[in-house]
Parts: sequence; structure tokens; C-alpha cells
Amino acid sequence: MATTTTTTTATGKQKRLAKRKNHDKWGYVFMAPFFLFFLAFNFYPMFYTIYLSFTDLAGWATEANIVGFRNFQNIYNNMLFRRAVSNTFILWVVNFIPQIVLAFLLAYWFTSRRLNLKGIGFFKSLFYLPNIITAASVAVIFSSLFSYPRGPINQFLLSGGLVDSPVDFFRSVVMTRLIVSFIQFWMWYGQTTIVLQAGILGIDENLFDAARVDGATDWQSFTKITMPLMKPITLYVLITSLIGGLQMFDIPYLLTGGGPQQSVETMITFIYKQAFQGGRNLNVAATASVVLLLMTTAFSLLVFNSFRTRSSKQIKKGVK
Amino acid sequence: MIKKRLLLGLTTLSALALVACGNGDTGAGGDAGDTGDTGDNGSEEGEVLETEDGEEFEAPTTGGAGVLDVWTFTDEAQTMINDYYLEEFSDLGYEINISIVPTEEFETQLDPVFNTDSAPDVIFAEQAFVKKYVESGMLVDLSQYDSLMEGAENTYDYVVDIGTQEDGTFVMNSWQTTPGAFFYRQDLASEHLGIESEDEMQEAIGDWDGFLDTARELRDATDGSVYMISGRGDLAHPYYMSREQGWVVDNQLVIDEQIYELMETARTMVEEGLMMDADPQGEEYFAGMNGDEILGYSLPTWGMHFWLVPNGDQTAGNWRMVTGPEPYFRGGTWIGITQTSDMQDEAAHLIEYLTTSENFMRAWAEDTGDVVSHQGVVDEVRGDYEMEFLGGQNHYDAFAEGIERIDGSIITEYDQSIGGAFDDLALTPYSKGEMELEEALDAFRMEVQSLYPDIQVD
Amino acid sequence: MYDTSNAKKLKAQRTLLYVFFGLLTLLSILPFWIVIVNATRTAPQIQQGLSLIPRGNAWNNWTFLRGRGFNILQGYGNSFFIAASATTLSLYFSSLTAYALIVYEFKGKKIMWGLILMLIMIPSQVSIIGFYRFIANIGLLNNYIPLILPAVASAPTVFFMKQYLETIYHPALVDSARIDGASELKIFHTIILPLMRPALATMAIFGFIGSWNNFLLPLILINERSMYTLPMLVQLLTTDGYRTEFGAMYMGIALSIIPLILLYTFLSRYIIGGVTAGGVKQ
Repeated sequence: MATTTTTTTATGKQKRLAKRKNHDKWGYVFMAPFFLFFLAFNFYPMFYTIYLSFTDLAGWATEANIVGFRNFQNIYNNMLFRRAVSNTFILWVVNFIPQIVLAFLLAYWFTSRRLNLKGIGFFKSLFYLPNIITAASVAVIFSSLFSYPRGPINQFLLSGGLVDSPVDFFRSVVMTRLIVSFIQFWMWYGQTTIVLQAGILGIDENLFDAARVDGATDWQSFTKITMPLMKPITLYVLITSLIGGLQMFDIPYLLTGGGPQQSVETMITFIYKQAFQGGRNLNVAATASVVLLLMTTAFSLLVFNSFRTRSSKQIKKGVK
Repeated sequence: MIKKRLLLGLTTLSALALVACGNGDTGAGGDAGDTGDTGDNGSEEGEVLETEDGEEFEAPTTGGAGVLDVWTFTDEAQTMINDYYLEEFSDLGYEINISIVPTEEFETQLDPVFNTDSAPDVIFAEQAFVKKYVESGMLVDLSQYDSLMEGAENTYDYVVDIGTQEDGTFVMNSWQTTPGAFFYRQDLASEHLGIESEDEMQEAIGDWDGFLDTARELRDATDGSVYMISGRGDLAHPYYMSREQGWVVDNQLVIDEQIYELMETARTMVEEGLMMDADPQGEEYFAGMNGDEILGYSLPTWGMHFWLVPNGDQTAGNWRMVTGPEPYFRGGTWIGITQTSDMQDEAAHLIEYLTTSENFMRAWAEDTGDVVSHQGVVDEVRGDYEMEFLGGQNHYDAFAEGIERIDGSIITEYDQSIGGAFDDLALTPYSKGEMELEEALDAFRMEVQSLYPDIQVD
Repeated sequence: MYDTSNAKKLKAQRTLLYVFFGLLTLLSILPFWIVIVNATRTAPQIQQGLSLIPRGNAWNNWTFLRGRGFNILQGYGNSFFIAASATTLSLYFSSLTAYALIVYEFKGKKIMWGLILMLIMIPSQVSIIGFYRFIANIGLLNNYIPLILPAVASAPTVFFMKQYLETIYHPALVDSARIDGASELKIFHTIILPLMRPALATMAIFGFIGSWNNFLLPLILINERSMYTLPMLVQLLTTDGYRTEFGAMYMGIALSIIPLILLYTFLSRYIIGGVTAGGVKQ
């Protein structure tokens, strides 16, 4: 990223350097609100969370005493937390794989010159629609669509003769997980398609023309040119989706509250319940948050690198 | 340390700015900053003092001086206060601000502000979580109010027991008692079972074996088209109340013998097609009250008023009530005063009226049919009831009989969350045959351990 | 170019794809449509079977909702107030920050930029416990302030604004104004902000929708019924009181999604454009 900044501002830099010195202090002034609010509402809460993960603050207590790494030991042994972590990944994987496959196919079809499909903008906007709808509403919609015994899906299955008796979807671990993953898939594949399509459109046309001259089919140039060049952007999509997936809360929480059998208990539902229900263990919730923070940071460092590769590509394109 | 100071300074600064632009109320901003600084370290007393200083200075966030804030989850409270209390005391000189927070959210909403100056003055709490607040040590000792204590002598013992801390401090009282009963359809019973009266019914289902046998008889007589009960909800409460010990004793999770019994009975009834297996308070549960598929429900006093009567308009007159296999109680609402309240005397006045006033109790019992907590009033009115919904049966008398057998000691501060976890993770999946016993109980223990890391679970 | 069999094959392929797209379109619309239709039916009608044709019971369902204290108008108002205030703050201060990052040279600038990039990736949920305690300590529970003010430091918006400003900014724009003696802030207000209108519009939409849809934070911070935001009201529909009143429940959901669907029909082009340009994640 840093490279981009210097390239664009380098023009005429020396000429104005002297004059500019006077103005540059305004940089601090203009950054100040962002910085102050960042400190108050991001930085401080984050460190406060970390601090609480080393304390015994729980229940009605108002005083927090430092207890060292005890909470971290406990959370390592907390079977429910482990389950929440693995649930979170299961739910994410089951949503992401079909999502990225479908998004790639759609992006390929949308950009294919041979197919030259009409109405792409229309379809794109419809595929993206679920993404803007309030997740809380989406959860309530699906909980009523799949409700037992006479929800719309059951009515459909029964009237079509597909099942003999209504299915209690939210009593089944597999079904509930599938529904949560499906909702996630449904809300995000449109977005992924658009990002991938933008990536494909950003590839140098000459490459495709050259391939065509060499007699490559559409599919060949897709797999041989597009796919390799799309690696960084795919990685970007993957990691942002993963980081987003780690924050999953609204859908599982409002759909079943984490059940049945804790099958869609996610890291954030765990944190929420720890902090605000039962024994109200703010310390445990904070510890789980720190684990989540570490995971997120690790993944975002990965994306940070992919960013870098991506933007240097863009610069090359600009040079051309 | 320096860094922390700096941060605190910065945050206080922004807090100031925030409050200034938000409320136009800079006083609160300064106050807020202070609280932020001492919140973690300051002792309880210290905080209260500060709060009071602040309040003399300006109005606190919730209501404020001159407004008695009441948090409840039942709209009954609104009726009791507006139509009775304020009728009698029309010139209190302060306002009463009633917030009705839905039961499901009540704790989540109250806990964060409980023991802060944004807490309400008066809180209502239901049986499932009343002990949590009773044992919190943050409610006002009611024994300092002589006339209230005098009135409470007429309150049924179990009601006072539940409102009393382990160390004997009495902090919450209630206007009602909530004995439960088994409500059944007399028309179905006589058609399929040849049972013609309440006595015959009680004899048939006086214990769990008899209950199951009757259920089988009913199934055989109707080819499985009529179920004994709606589902596990009708079993759970009678079984819970027959436990020897509450969920947690000496910081140890207790899975009472009756809990195993409950799980087995529920599973048997599902397997043998003896109960409908409807979710408690779900769609089928309520629909069953108007249909001919369910013989009976286990319901407490308020369950009859709020659930059975409104959902049974087409079956009205055919219902009867008996004790059932196990005397029990379910629910009930207690009222207490928060220690952070700046209107404790006013709050005590309200509680005294709602939970001990003979006149109010009588009026309330007569107007609503609620079984009140005042022994004298109950004894006085119990003879005069004839409930058409129950084919003229005197439900009040029958309920009143149940009160004597109630034992409040198995109610713990963990009932809401542990009971909920048990139902979700053990009872329901086991009864439906989705999990085996130990597997189900392990999932339950794991959840309890997670909710309360300090409780021994095995 | 292609021979006839190829052309036929292409046509068949296209038709198949259109059918497939049609199915996906149904998948996007049908759940919402069923909700809207059911919002106009009575509970028994809903129980009888699936239907895609609206009926006439909308008003009764609405009346029932109102009777239950489901004050959706207030919910709209609350959510609108929060989303609009947060969006305004975020737009203004993010542009200002982006401007500072592009126009001025100052120490620590690179660090700030690195920080912003990092922040984009780290969602606020991870520090929600500290945030909650902090807000409780300064006595701002049950207040919209903690839902609005953090928008001043919105890293993704700064990122987007900077990306945009980079493409349109030229030093000459500012220099001439400086020669005329305009103050730096005035230059920003009168020259830069108007130039950024397209980016502002895009981010306004995303910021607004993001704030409008936020559920976890208000759930934790707000407990006054009258202050509930829309998602919090929607959450109430899953509670006992609505279990048998299906029509009213569907009406509640429908009312929560209709404004967004309307907004989307008018603005979808900009939204899709925004996603394309920024790879924006809400």
C-alpha cells in the first residue's frame, strides 16, 4: 500500500516542498478526530478486554482482581468453547466452499465474451439482494420458513409428497448447521461474485486475445489465465470471509440460540452468553475474545500480504 | 500505569464531549468520568455515596428523583399499580414509572444496570430467577419496615422463604401463591376411560405409575388418537418440585433421583406414544387446548388464567382440575427494592401495599381469581368460587389446598439457566431418543460448567 | 464465425444459464415474498398451506402487532436516527482523515495508514466486552452515543475515501485556493468534499445499511423498550407472544425488510458499483 501512496504524491513534490511545510501541521489536526475516537472506542476497549481476560471479574462483582493466566487455562479446557470454535469453522467451511465455487462460475459466465449474456446487471443485483437485508430479520425469516410442524418449507415438502411427516429441522444437528451455512452462503455469494467479476474484468485483455489466437477455448483461458491471476483476490475473499465468519452471531443466535445440542454455538454466541447470561463471566468472555482476536489478527496478517500483492498488480496495470 | 492514566484522561475527555452533545447535561459527564475511574477499584459504599452526590446535583438517567422506577415483566404489575395502588394513594407526590421488560430479556437487561445508579428502584422477579436477585446481596433488607413486616406475618411461609437470603435477610415478597394442578378434560375422560369425577381421576393418577397406566389405557382406548398430556412440559414441573435438593448444593451440581425419573418417564411417554411431544407453549401446545387430542395439562394458577382459559374457548366447561401425581408449584412473582435506590421508603410503601394489604389482596383475588399470598384472605374467599370454565368446580379451594404442601427450599439462584440447559440439552434430546442418557447428561454438565466455572459438576 | 451446430450449442447453453439464473433469482426473492404474502394472511390461512398470493388480512395483523407494543414506527425512527447520525459523522471524518493522508506529509503518517489497514481487518466484535464495560463505567448504557460516535473512526470508510481521493486529487486544486488565502479547512469543505460526492454517496449507502442492520451492539447497550432499534424489535418476534399469531409475526418481519428492499430497488446500481469498486465488506 505504501508504494501506491508515494507513486501518486511524488509528482511535483520538490517544487512545493518549501511552501508545504507550513500546511503539513494540518495533517495532525485533520487526523486528530479519527485518532482520538480510535483511541477511545477501539484501542481502549481492546486493551480493556485483554486486561479483563487476566482478571476474575464475574457475576455481581465490581472489583477485578488479576489472576494471571488462569482464565486461559480454563478456556483451553472448556469443552463448550472448543465446540464453539469447531462449530464456527464447520459452519464457515460448509458455506464458503459452495459459495466460492458458485461465485467463480457466475463470474466466469458473466464475463464470458463467447456467451455474451444479457441482463447481467439485473441478475447481479438480485443475487446481491439478501446481503443488504438485516441479518436479524433474515434469521427470523428462516426460523419461520423452516418451523415445525407447519412452516412453509414443511408445507411444501408435505404437499409435494417429499416427506410423509413434517421435519423438525431445528431438532436436527445436521439440518440446523446446514440451514445456518445456507443462510450465510445465500447472503454472501452475490457479493463474492461481484468481487471476483471485478477481478476478472481487471485482467489485461491482451492476454485473452493472445490465447484465443493460439486456439485456446474459453474454459482453457479461464483455467490457465484467469484462475492463476485471480489467486491474490481469491485469497483476499477467502480471508475476509473467514474473518467475517468468525464473527457469526445474529443468524445462529436468533435461529436457535445455539442449539440443538450446541451445534451452532459460535464463538460470538459463546462470548455473548458468557458475558450476559448464567454466571455472567465477563472474564471468561474476555478471554474468549482475546483468543478470537489472536485468530483474527493471524488471518488479517495473511490478508495484509495478499493486499500488497494485489495492489502492486494494480500498479503494473496502471503502468501499461 | 502512565499509559493507563493517559487513556483514562482521553476517554474521560471524550465522554465529556459525548455527554455534552448528547444530553446537554455536562454535570453527568463529569460524574460519568469519575465513575469510569473508580468503577473497578472503588468499594460499593464509595460508589453509592458518589451516586447520591451526583443525584443531588442533577437528575440521574433513569427517571430521576421524584420518579419511582419499577421494572417488571408482567403487565399485571401495571394494573395493580395504576388501578389499585394509585387509586388509593392518588397524591403520592412522585410519579411511578413502570417498565415492562419481556421475561426472556429481563435478566439480560437488568443485570448490567443492577447495582448501578441506572438501576430501577423496584424490581419484580419470577420464580425462575428470583433467587439470583435475592442472593445477590444488593436488595434492601425489608425487616427495617415495621408495618411491612407486620403484614408479612400473614404471608404464606414458602413465599417468604423464597424471598429470604441464605443468611436470613428478608428482601422480596409476593402478592401471589402459585400452586399447580393437573387440568384435564372430563368429557374425554368419561368417554374413553370411564372416569366420571375428579376424585376418580385423582385416584387413577395419584402417583406416576398410575399416571402412566392411565395414559396407556387412554392410548389403547383411542388407538393413539388422544394423548394423556401435551409433552414434557407437563411432566417437568411436577417432577422438579418433588426433588429432594435444588440444582446446586454447596457449589455442587445435583442431579436428583427425580431428574432421572423425569427423563425416563418422558422417554417412555414419547416412545409409547402416550404424549403428543409438543414444545411447551408452542403452537401445538396451545392448539391442543381447543382440540380433542390432549387429555390434560399441568398448569399453575396463572397458567389456567393466561393460557388455558384464553385458548380453550371451545372446550370451556369440560375442564376439571386435580392435584395429579405430585403436588407442585410453578412461577410466582416477587418484589424487592434495590440498594442503589434513592427512594427506598417510597418503594417499601408500594411493596407493603402490593404484598400485604388485606384490602388490596381481597380486591385482587375477587377481581382476577388470582390465589394471593395472604393466608387470611385466601381462607376467607376460598369457599365462594365456582368456575364455569371448570364446570362449576371451585378452583380456588383446590389451589388453596395445594399451597400447604409447597416447599420453597429447592429454588436456587441457578434455576433459570441450569433448568433451561437441562431442558435443552438433556431432557428434550433424551426424551425424543436423539441421545443416550449419559451423553445427554454430559452435554448438560458441560454447559453448566461453562456457565458457572466455579460449580463442581461431577 | 461459428457454424450452425456451434451456434445451436451456444443457444442451448445460454438458455440453460438463463434458467439457472432464474432459479437463483427465485431463491433471492422467494423467502421475502413468502414473508410479505403471509403478512397479509390470517393465522389459519397460513396454517392451511403455502400461497404466493396476498390476501386481505394485513390490517388485522398490523393491529395485533400494535396491540402487543410492537412499535415499529418508533423502531424505524430510532434506527434511522442512529444510522443517519453515524453515517454523517463517518463520512465527514473519514474524508477528512483520507484528505490528511493524501495531501500532507507528516511524521507518523505511515504508521497511521498501517493502523487503518489493520483495523479494517479486525472487527469490533472482538473487543465488545471491553467496550461494554467501558460504556457501563462512563454511564452511557441506554444511550445512543456509543452506537453513533465510534463511527468517527471508521477504518474501512477512510480506506475507501483515500482510494477514491487518490484518483481525483491533484495538487493544483489546492494550490490555487491557498494562493487566494483560503484556510485548509475551507479548502477541504469547498473544494475537496464536493469532488468526493460519488464516493460519499457510495459510502453513505453502505454506512447507513451497516448501522441500520447492527444487532449485537444495541442488544448489549440498550434496554429501554422505547429505544429499541429495528433488529431488536424483530428479535422480539421470536418470543412466546407471537408463536400462534403467525400473520402478525410475518407482518413484523415484512415491515422490517420492506424499507431496505425499497431502498435497494432505487439504489442497487450504486450499491453494486460500490461493491465492485471497493470489495467492501459490511
